[in-house]
Amino acid sequence: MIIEFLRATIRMATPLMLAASGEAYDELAGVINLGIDGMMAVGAVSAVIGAYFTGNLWMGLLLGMVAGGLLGVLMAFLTTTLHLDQVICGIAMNILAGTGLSVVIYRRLFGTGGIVIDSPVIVGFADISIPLLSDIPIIGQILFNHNILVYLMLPIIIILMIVLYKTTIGLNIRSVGDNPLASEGLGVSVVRTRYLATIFAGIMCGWAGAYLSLAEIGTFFEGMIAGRGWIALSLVIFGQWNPLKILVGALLFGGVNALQMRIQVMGIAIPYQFLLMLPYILTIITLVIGTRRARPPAKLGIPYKKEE
Amino acid sequence: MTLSPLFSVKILLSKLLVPIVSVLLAFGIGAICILICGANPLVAYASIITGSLGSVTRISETLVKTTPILLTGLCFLVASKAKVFNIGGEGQLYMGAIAVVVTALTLPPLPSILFIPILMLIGFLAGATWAFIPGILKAKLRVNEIITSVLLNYIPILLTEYLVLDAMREGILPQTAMIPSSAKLPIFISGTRAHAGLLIGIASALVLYIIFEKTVLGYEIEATGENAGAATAAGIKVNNIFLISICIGGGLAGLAGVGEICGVQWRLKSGISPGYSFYGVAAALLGKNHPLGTILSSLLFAALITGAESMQRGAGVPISFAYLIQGILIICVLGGEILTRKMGLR
Repeated sequence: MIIEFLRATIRMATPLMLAASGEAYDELAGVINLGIDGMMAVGAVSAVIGAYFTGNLWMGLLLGMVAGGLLGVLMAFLTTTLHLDQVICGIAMNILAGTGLSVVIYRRLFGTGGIVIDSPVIVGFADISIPLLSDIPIIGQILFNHNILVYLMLPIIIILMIVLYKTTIGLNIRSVGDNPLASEGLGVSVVRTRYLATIFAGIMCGWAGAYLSLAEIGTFFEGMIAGRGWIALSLVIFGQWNPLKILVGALLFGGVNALQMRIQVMGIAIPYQFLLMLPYILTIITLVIGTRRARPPAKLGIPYKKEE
Repeated sequence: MTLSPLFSVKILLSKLLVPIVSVLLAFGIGAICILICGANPLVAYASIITGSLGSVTRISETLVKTTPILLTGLCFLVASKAKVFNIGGEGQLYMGAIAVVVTALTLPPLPSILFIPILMLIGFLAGATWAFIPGILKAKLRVNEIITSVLLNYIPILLTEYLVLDAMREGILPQTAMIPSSAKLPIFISGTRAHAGLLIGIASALVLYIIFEKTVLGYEIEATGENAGAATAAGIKVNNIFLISICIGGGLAGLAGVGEICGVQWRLKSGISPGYSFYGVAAALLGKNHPLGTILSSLLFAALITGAESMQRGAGVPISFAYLIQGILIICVLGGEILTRKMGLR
């Protein structure tokens, strides 16, 4: 039972980790994207479309990432090129993508007269037991018996950490968010860096959404993101914009989610609605803790204009 | 300083120009989307118009939906004047609704003249209390109020689900008992559902207009929004302003909950608000954060969603299309404002 709980913890942490680390890059470059919840929804529906019509899960994942990336391009254009208010753009993106676009696409492709009767069922990514390692008692079952997307998390975090703290790319991203004027003086293009960071965040959101629909749920339904984008946003602050620390936070959330599911399954007499409230309450608590220590990028949310 | 008449015409023009052009542009982009969907935009838009304004019943349905959009729009507006972004209108609406149902079913039935004001007060306080949480966290600990207010939307929705499925369930359907008839808001177009909640909404907009035009509080809210540092230097307690503005807004969203319970549903059910507060945010932005402008934009959005139901039946374009238009509209308004500023119209 504890094994099941810890396995579920890791699985549920994965989408939060993906979305939050993409957002961390974006915020470090100085752009806050509050639209990630909506972008995840579009990623989730696009992934279902891709997987359903090609019969290939990887094509689904790819389409989800492309869709997220395209919304990232739109977001970058609005915030970096047009200098529109990032907060309001994020809100607009959630309405446009989350409650609008994702549902319109879904109902149009899989429904008649605007209503979906048969939702497409996807046989998601299967669990792969890693030979030998999965035979280790307890730990083997917890760590080495997951779907491929969960395994991918480890190299991704390592790459994200190295790029951010050991390469010029990471240095440029961080300097653009802290002092765009100085970085421009050093020959770093603020516009290009911010574009790339925002698009990257979009791709990661698409991936996170695709993970939910292809590996967790096996289909798309309206409202399936259930605020995970907002939880990811607070994880960024909790994790101090550091992918490794974000992982710790994501695991904490995965744990609470897995715990409330366990309690439901065990039939303990707590109404399930109260259990479902737990992740949101925990998010607020961690946000309060995270904010106390937070040192956000100096120019977060502030448009950069060359002429000034 | 007196303004030349030509200049004030220019100001008025720039104020109206952006929203009008934005609406046209958004519906234009929307038409392209409908074409891509394989439907006829003209048929779709015609069914929106007939579906929202085609008969007395349709018009009154539009007015019914205007109420919660307007009140939650004002909820966003008050706080955003102080640069506090309250996206928690949905949860605050539900909190108002829950509090009103519990009160109306607990108190002995009072005469309407007493009952309705009491329920309005309770609903206002419940919404304001729920908004107090993100408000105090921002004021005292600088916690991002956007994230907390969004997260706090989910809790009252889940609580509502629990109440109607379990604790307060009455009968087979997942809903509570009906509130006493003296708690129901009067209908102002007989034979329809158009209820007096709309008057509460319009009155609230007028009160806010007066607050912002004539009172010290309104001035302090706007000064805080323009430059919190300068406001502090001028002796304004910006933390209090953050808190007051978000709580007033939460109260208005709570009133939206009162309107839905006492005017439309007469009982608590889940899904009493299909995301009205998000339309409200869009309405406030389209109304250029002006209380009276928000009345007009709320009417527009109410017509849009009322008509979208007919569009779904008539042209097969999903209702959610209305959200797509909204998102585009917000971006157009933002872009338009930047553009007019650049052209030197303001």
